Amino acid sequence: MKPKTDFQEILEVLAAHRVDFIVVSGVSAVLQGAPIATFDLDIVHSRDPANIERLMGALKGLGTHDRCDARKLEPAPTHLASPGHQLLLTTYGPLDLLGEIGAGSGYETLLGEAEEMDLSKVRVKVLGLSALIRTKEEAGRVKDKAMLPVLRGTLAERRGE
Amino acid sequence: MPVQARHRVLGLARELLSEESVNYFDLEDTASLPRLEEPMTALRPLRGLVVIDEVQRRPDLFPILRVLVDRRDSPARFLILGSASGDLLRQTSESLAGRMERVTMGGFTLEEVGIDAEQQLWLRGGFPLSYLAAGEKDSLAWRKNFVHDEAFFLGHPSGGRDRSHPAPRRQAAGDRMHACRRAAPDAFHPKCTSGLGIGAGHHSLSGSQALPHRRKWRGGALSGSCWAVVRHRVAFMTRGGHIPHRLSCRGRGEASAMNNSDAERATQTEPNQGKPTHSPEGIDLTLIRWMLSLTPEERLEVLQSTVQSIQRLRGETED
Repeated sequence: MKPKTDFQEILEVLAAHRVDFIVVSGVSAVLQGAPIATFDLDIVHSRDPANIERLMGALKGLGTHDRCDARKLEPAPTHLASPGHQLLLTTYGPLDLLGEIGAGSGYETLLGEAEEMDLSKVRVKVLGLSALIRTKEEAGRVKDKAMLPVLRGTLAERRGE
Repeated sequence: MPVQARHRVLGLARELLSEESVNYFDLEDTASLPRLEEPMTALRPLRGLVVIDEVQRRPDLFPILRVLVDRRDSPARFLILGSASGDLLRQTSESLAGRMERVTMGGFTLEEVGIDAEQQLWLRGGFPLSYLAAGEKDSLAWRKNFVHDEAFFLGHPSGGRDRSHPAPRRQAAGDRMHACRRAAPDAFHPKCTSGLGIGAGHHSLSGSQALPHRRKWRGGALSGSCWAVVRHRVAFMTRGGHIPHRLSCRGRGEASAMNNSDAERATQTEPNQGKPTHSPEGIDLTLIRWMLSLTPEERLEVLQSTVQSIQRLRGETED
């Protein structure tokens, strides 16, 4: 049976393992009010070795494996240390670990543009809408450009424009 | 049963047995408690109907009741009343399986009060103390306190998101919400407190001439036509000032009610009034405004519900 999506659960497990990460992309947009649908949780994680170790613990707790590999391999620390994207599947749905996004922005770069959000059971860092829009523009893919109007509209509404 | 509906059952119980009877135990009454210090000794000799109210306070009674019910000559029959907590339901199922009939009671339904009383049911809701109040003011006062005290996620008096509410209280309110849903599965419990507050029972809706079709609601989002009825009713009661607090609905997020303060009504505007509904790129701005009216946690829940709905449609999940 396919996993039942529960992004909240994934976030709680990551937080419980004290993983340093920033929620980006679709879920970040939703948390800030964008009415969009997304099927995966994207996070940019710190690639500090200690954080990678904590992240590995969290991934184990989430029953995670590579969703692109039929062998369902578990992610390795070396994978998480790279700037690339790890496309994973957990017990609670798809989770993408992004080393860098946009024009090469990693955790430390994005940290200053993240805001903390309270989800009652967990506090998470979420990439601000302005920064999210910028990274989408930098990425320049068709699907990123397609999201820009709703993100800009949401930002405008939040600012009361 | 929902706590607020127990008055109905209590009233019925008192029709059958006087509170003064030795067979009547109110476990919230300090006079009854000492009588049950030795429960088997106290209950075994009793004959006829025995009423035990607020039984959830003494879950240790269930195994004793099982023994008494299993007696060959069945000299006594027990009417046990209590709030439908998950623990209580589990305990009764475990101890008294096959020995009891469970009767769940919710608020008054349209079938019970009659179609002529539809407006009263809509305005006052189905819970007895509200519906049977002496007048509109008393009914409104009860509903006001009900919404405030129960704090079903959204019913904060300011209409905003009460982050100051301690988490345990919100959790307790949520637990009571779930207990109400479990206790009265045939009642209508939409994902918004305005439904409860306005007595929007399934039977109320199905009896309404405005509803184009009848569907037993078993949870999940309502159809668009059902929400149209709810919005119409909420708007009706908003104009009449019958809804005490500003509430908003999740799910479709389009029904909202206003605080009955005149000053607030005078300044309050519809969220989309005077504003464009779509951006030049065609983005639906009303959806954005609706999402912005929710807390971040609620937005995440909307997303998860949406994804799960799509997965169900695709047959990717079993439920």
